[in-house]
Amino acid sequence: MSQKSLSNWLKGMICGVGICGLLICVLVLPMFGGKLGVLAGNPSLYWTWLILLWLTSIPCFIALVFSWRIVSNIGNDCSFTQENAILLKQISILAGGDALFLFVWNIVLFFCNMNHPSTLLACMFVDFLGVVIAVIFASLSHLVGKAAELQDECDLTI
Amino acid sequence: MEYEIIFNIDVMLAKRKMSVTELAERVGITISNISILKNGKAKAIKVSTLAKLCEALDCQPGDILECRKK
Repeated sequence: MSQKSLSNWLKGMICGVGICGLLICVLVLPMFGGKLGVLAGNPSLYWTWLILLWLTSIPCFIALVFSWRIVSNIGNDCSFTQENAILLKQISILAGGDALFLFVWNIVLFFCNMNHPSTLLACMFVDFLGVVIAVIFASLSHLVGKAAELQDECDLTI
Repeated sequence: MEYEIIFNIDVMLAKRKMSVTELAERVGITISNISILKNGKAKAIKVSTLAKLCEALDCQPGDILECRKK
């Protein structure tokens, strides 16, 4: 697979993830959120949780934009650059920050009796995933940065 | 105090009445690489490339290399 076709496939994947994310935020969450609120016996929780979930999805879309830039660089044969290393680090920070935000608000809502233990547990799992993604992207950022230095030295070796 | 290595290729090119294009062809590297050497942006040079430079310019490495303070 050539670099250009790899880049195109990755761009397609990013578009797919973005569209799915948008559909979930705009359609699925509002549609099912109300029903879950009624089942939980407290319909007023609907807007609180909907806004919280919308807020936690914003860093995900920003990360998709950064991913698009990384993939465009890969398509232009600029895979190992400091720019890509910085973008990967920013995605890592977004993932970690998002996980922290969700964790804090989960605890706050739990103590305000606006949360359920099962929801708390499920969100802890999502938090753990967020931390895992943050660590993976931080590692990738470090490796790409080192590779960029090697590439630089190689390019400037006559 | 930090030092840097300078490639004084222009002096030898003038002495041998050779153009940058001809030198690049003889050494087997691109003109842009010659510019990188002249501008001091090169991070490393292969020993084989240095040998080819000296062969093309009919000189010693000391004739084209200079060490000076930054």
